[in-house]
Amino acid sequence: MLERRRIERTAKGEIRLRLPRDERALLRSLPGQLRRLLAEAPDDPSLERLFPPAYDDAESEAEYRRLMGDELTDGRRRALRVIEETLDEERLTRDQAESWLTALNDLRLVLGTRLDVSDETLLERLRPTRICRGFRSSSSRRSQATSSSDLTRAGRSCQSRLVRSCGLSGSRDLTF
Amino acid sequence: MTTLAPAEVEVEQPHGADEVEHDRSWIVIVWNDPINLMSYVTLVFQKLFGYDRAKATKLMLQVHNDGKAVVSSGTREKAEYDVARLHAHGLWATMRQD
Repeated sequence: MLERRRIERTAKGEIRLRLPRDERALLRSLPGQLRRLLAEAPDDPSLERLFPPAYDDAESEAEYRRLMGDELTDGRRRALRVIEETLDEERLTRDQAESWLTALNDLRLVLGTRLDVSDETLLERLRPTRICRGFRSSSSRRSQATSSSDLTRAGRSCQSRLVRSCGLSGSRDLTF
Repeated sequence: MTTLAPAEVEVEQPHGADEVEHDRSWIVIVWNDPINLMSYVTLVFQKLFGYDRAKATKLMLQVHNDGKAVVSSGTREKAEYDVARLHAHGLWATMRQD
């Protein structure tokens, strides 16, 4: 039986979304959490992969950070906001879909850092029963009973489909 | 979509031997990481640098197999602009003088 594709490009160049309810539920909470973390705890260790150093030497790096830091943060928050605002849409514009792509990638990077993902096999071995604290600041006592494995898998699946819809087809969905 | 204005970098006026330093071009390096999707990295190379799919895929595979690849080069300003755009897309990029 043919399964309708969950994410596909329409003839008009829009992206049609048919996300299952559980994936939409995950995406309902995560972008807001990461947006708040960026605003309230920008030095949280789990954000380090979002802001890698550009230079080896400290002086140039500090200058780069001073010049670009706010803009990089603002861009991330804008993209996360697009997911929040369009989560229940059935169609995305090309620009909205590209914001989804970068924001989903950011979510995966932060989750991967939280989970200390060092190679792909580790990701596959994670059991759904493991508990992840979501994106709240590491100093926060509040915990969230969310399956980290499901989160990374859903994000990866959703992102790779979007990549295909945004211009590539037939690419292998492998991580580095 | 994230847009980045060209980074304004204060560069000291070159004097004598320093001028040679400033003339040396800078290279932008993307490093391997265990999280980014191969298809996503290829798409980012195409989008940011206008590379065709074959070139973008070759660079992505170089990062994947060798651990890193030089993806662009030029003046310090251009390299910094490229690094910032790669950072905006979640790629692990650094720059240094060639």
